[in-house]
Amino acid sequence: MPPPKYKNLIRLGFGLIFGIFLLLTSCIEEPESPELRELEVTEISQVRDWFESNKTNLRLPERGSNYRSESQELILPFFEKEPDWDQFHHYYFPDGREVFEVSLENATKYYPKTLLDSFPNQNPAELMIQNIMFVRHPTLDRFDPLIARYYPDNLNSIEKFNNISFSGLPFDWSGTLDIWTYDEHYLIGYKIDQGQITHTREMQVSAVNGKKGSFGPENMDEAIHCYVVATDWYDGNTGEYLGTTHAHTCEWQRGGSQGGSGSGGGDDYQRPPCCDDPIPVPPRDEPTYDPPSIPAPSTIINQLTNPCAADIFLELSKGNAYLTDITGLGSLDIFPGMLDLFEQSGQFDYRIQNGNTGSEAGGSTSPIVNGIITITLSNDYLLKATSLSIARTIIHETVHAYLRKQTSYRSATDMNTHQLLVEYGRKYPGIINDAHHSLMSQFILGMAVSLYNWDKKYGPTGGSLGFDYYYKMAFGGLVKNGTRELILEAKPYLPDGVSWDEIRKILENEATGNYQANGEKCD
Amino acid sequence: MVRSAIKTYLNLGLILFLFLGFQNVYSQKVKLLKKEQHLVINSIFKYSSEKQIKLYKKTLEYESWMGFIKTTNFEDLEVIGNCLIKDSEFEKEFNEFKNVMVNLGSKKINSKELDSKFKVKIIPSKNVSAISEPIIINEYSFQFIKSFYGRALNVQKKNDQGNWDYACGIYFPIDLQ
Repeated sequence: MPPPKYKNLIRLGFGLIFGIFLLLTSCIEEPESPELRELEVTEISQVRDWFESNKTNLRLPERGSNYRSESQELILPFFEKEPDWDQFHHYYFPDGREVFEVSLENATKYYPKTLLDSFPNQNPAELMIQNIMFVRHPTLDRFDPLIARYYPDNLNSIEKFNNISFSGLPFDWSGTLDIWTYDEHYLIGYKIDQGQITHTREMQVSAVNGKKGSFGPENMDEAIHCYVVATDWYDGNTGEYLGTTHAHTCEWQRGGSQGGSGSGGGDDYQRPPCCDDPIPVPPRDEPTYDPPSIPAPSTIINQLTNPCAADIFLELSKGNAYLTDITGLGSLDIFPGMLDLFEQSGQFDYRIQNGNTGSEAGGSTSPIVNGIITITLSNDYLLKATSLSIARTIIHETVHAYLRKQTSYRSATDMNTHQLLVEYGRKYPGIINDAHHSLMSQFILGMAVSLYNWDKKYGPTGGSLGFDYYYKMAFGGLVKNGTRELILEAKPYLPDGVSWDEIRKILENEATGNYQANGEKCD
Repeated sequence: MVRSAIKTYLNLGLILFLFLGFQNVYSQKVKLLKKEQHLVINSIFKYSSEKQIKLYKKTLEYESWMGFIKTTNFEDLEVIGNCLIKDSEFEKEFNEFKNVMVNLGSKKINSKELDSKFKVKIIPSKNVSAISEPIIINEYSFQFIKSFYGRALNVQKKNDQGNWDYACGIYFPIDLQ
């Protein structure tokens, strides 16, 4: 039985969860700005025109139609690409290069043999996503095309075109993303587990003994273990042995956690028996063609480079589906539901990162910029705070992001929350931070449950602090703008006999990781 | 001794003359808000739970930050409330306001026209909000609100009873904490 003092909050919490559930199950597509889409359509037509004029010049010379040449490169049979120009993603690489990623849904599809093993009796072509990326050259008037193939690892990772792209992998997606040149030379592959890159792989010209590598995401501070995996290749149609290549496979290991240990490079690529025979590639006119450099794919939201914070975020996102819950409050865990809401909206627009915020606050949530809301955790704060405090801040900022999404005219889909925002917006005219914090006071119990669940399953104390402690921490940040005073609307939710000053002291202990903190420093 | 006293009187006289002269010019140049505009201001803060609303005596002139209303696509603005650009009535008035907002000038608020919870301040400070002259266009009134803690365009709408009420707040983009 839940403690009686939380009953009203539980009712409210259930109402909110029910609202989120209704929203998730209703699959409301987020309307896109007509003007923005119109502009993108104009731009995609320029890409199409460029592609139609240049596609014959994009192939590497004298590669023939084999899977591989004597160079031991992995080369799939070339086929003429006919992009579906009506389906595309538009985004930018971190270095500013513009990218259009267009569907190749109706084209010939290649897939690794392991896909068949994971999904027996299913048509792999219907499970995978195959796109062509057009990377605008930074200085020349041209695009560099690349082929992106997304292979899911499990049923939950089977996505529709709209929900996945190189810059927008769902936060919990697991599978393999392989990048090929336009004429099907293997470029680089990424093994992704729950939105995290765990391995990269490159096909080598010749076998190289295991060594330390340095390629891959530059901004990830992990230990890298690289090794070579020999792979035998077969013709998917005839079963003919083609030879052996050596995949230089690197495993990313985040500090303090166990990375996966799969080979990542041992897949046998096959093409479906339905496909036409490979089209011989004629020698091309142009003398050279270098594929563009590419950054690591974005795990759509988790761009934290602080390993501890990144782990906490992932753990929070997993929620509490299978956790035995002694308080009876487990189902109020709001964090995973809010992330799902962003994903379900069809246009994923949530990022979390760390950086120098120049503020005393542990985190901040940006306005919507180019359709993206970015949460930034302060580097200074991450150095001092306990993991419990960081989890609290991530939850708090995510509620801000959720409310921002509900605020925006463009993405307001949860009318209950939108209506509540109107109520608080008129109470605090001109000060959006106060409007948010006053509404967030109604999420205190849900935030406390998310924090409790995280600590119970992943945290340093195993949830042993007593639910009241997490409940008190959930008040963190709910202050009147520019002051240290608790916002008026949160005061009725203070536990009996507990003052705001007492709670503030707990929050400060955890935020600074001092000797009175119950959590452990996140380093 | 006598000279010093005369000098003091002269100085005081000069200060008084300048002050009165300034007051005269000021009162001639800075106009008072109209009664209806004061009703709008009362309505903006009627839901506030603050015991006292501190408001700067002079209304805001046009400032460059206000341009976010013009430079941002409406669908990308952060709007709390029920202002819908697809509502042809609102769209018309909103566009009209965008055209005239650059002419916003400083006017005086008459504290006697405001509810008792307002405290009109002549010196701006951290806890004092400033508001632009309410621009009433048909059933809508548009006014910017600026404080140390946030900036927004507030929109009030006249209801069926003829009273001004909250329609929406359109927020200047800032980081939340």
